[in-house]
Amino acid sequence: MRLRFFPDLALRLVAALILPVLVFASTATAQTADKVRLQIKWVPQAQFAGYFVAMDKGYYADENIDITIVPGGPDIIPEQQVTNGQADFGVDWVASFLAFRDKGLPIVDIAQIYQSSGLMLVSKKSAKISGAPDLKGRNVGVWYGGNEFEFLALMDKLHYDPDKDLNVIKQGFTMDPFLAGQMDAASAMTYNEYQIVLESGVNADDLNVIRYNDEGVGMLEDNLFATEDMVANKPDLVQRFVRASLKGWQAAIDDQAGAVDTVMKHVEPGSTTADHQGRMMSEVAKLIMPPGATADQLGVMDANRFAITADIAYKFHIINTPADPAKSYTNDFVGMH
Amino acid sequence: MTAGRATPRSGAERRLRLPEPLPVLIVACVILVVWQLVASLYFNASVAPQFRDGAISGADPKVPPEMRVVMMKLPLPSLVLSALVTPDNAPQLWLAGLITLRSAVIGFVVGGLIGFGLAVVMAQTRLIERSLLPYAIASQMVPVIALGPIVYSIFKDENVARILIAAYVTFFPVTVNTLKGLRSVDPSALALMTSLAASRLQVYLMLRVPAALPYVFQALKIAATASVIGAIVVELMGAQQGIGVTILRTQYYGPANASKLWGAIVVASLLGLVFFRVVAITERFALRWQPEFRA
Amino acid sequence: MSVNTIAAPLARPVRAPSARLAAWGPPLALLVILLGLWQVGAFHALFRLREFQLPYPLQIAQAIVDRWDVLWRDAILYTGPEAAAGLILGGLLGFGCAVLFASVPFLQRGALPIAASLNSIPIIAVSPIAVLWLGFGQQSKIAVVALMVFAPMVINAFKGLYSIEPQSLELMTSLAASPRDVFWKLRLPHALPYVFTALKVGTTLAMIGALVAEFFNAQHGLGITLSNNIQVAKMPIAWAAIVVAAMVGLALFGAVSFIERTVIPWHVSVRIRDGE
Repeated sequence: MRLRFFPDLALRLVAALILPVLVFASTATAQTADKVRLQIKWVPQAQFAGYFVAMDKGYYADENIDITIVPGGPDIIPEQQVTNGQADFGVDWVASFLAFRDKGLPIVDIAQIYQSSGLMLVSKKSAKISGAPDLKGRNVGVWYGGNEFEFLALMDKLHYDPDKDLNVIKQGFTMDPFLAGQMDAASAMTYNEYQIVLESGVNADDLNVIRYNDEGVGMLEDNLFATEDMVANKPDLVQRFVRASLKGWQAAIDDQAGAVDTVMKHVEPGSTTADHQGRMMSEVAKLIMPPGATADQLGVMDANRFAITADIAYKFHIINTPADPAKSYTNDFVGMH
Repeated sequence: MTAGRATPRSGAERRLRLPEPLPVLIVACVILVVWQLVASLYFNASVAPQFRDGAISGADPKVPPEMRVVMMKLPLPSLVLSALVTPDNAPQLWLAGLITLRSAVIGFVVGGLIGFGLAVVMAQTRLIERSLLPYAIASQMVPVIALGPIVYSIFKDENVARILIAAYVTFFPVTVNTLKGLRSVDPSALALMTSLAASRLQVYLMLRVPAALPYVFQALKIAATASVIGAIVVELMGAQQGIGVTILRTQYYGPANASKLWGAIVVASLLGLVFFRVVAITERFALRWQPEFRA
Repeated sequence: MSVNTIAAPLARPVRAPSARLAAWGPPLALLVILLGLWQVGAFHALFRLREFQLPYPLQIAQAIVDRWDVLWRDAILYTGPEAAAGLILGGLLGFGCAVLFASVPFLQRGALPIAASLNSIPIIAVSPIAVLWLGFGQQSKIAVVALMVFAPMVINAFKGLYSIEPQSLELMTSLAASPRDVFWKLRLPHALPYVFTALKVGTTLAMIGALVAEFFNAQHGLGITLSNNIQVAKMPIAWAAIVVAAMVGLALFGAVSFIERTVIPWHVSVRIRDGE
């Protein structure tokens, strides 16, 4: 009898001693996880898939980061949110990032996720805008607030005056006016608005597109940035965050269907479909890893591409002093995950 | 015009007084019926017969885009209502509504208090009113996109900042109406108080505040509905859930979501309606001496 | 307090120029002091603000001067008229509905809450639909403003039309007044203070409505200047647009106040000069 009890008792004693230690250890680890807020540029969608995948697959948790992804909106400026402490990291386009840097915001680009511009002008074939020069005298929708500089660069290239040679309309964030025929050409992203137009009953054959990349005026878009303070004082946290984010992006690109499933958990139910997010994911992957890119280039800022973007920014007075590559961005945190 | 008589109603009038939610429901039904008629006419006029099913379901790729946008311009209420009750959409829509309502109430209380306090200060002398009123007016012309970074920077706490921004949207109507009310005191009553050697505080409590209350309650009714907008505006600055978030995201993905977008609009106005009714009922009790409540 | 204040003549006394200066001097002095404090950075230091969150008055003034022709044109031709037209349209519609609701008790209980609830629909929902119906021009912005101004007017005007003292009504009846007389000579004058209060509330709603409606799907206006520049950190220009909009709003408010003083000089709030 005693022999039977003994192992039982021993087990209980061992459990009684070890379990609290384990619990304490696990809570202790949880207590030391860094709380991080990431401000994305717009609403949750496949455009930001990498971060959601990293969150759901636990990559951030593996790096001891407790992450909150803060949705964007029409009244949110990511650079302001990061600077006034409402977020630790932000996502925005490089042109507006440089504009805020120029005005004194102490922010640094810590990873360049999107390597290629996805911005374009789309028009129905019936509008007969087969090339950029045909835009003259037409109703053209342009997104302002930091997204208009590729358009201005194109106008400059064609020697058109946007105020006189065209009828420029400040475009909102839906394609309904374009679909209703109120605009001849509208701004669109390859991964969202263009897909929405296709989903709304227009054949790809019935559309003409003008891609800013093809016209040589493409600028860099989604990046990751943080304050100079953060980079200087908490480089370890920055490194862990970037590493987890890039891992998430790699996973999203490799398993796009899985990424879409993850994204669908975070979108507004009923607002979008898995099909649409799937198309978005596929287009986004092409912009993040353009043909010929290798895995170790994920997130790396290419000096030439930066120079093109910075030059256009300087030329159109987004920034008043030429951007200093050494201070504007760093590749210290990428390329070696 | 026969309305507004405070004398006891005739027997016939008393019998016809329907219990409370009914008039609103009846008017709402009438509106829905008229809406359905007009929307159907518009839909049939704009969409060719072969595309009609496709324009509604979104499943037919051949439907031209201009016809799809019809649902965004004037949807059929039958579809909007189904968006409000089908199990896929409905729980999330109503939950978003509740979240927004909670923020609206907080904004209403804080905005109402600030508005009332400001009006009391401004009612002291015309000089103070002239000094402060322009700033109150000008403050309303600063859109949230400019105000937000400033408020966030001053009040580091996200929740405090949000409450203040919501209050900022709500306080002004309260101030303007309350100020009017505080100044609309019957001079002969004022003379009576003075002749009875009433102190300044007594004049306030027993004369000015009650005299101002009818105006204040109109202000509160306006503020009640405006606080829903305040809550929505705040949600568009990074909240994860709420009616404002729903409106933004359903709109963004195109005309296929028209029913859900209009459903969210209906929920937003329902929030305002409910809140308005609550304030109106409170007014009925607080101002029992007002002519229209005395019957 | 003297009895004279109560028995003051209905016509407004003409004030001596020195009295006008005494009236407006202190507020202007306050404005100058605040601007001075702002310029030297008192608010920036106090609230730890940076230039890219709130620019300095001289920067804003410089931006106003640099862009005066555009700002002026936008204010006078676009945003201002949009706000004013929407204010008038929404005010008239609101007043009309208030008259209707005041005549039909059933509607007061059934339709008034629904009319008021229209105030809860945000611009971000109304504006795109207005643009689909009315295009990118000013009509869609006027429609948005009218909707925003409608509800406060209905709520206030209804109260004014409906909440009449029974003695006054009985007096009218005893004098064999027709319903039309009752309306024009009793209800309407009683409603006017409420109507003007609603219009004052409406001026700010109209301005901010016109501004924000121009953020999306528009071609001209202060709202475009504002939102375009604020998102690329050009704060002085963005705030220049805000300042010009505020000036237009103040002018609108002042115009409504002036009309109020002219139309209802007999009302207590207009008559009594100050405080007690």
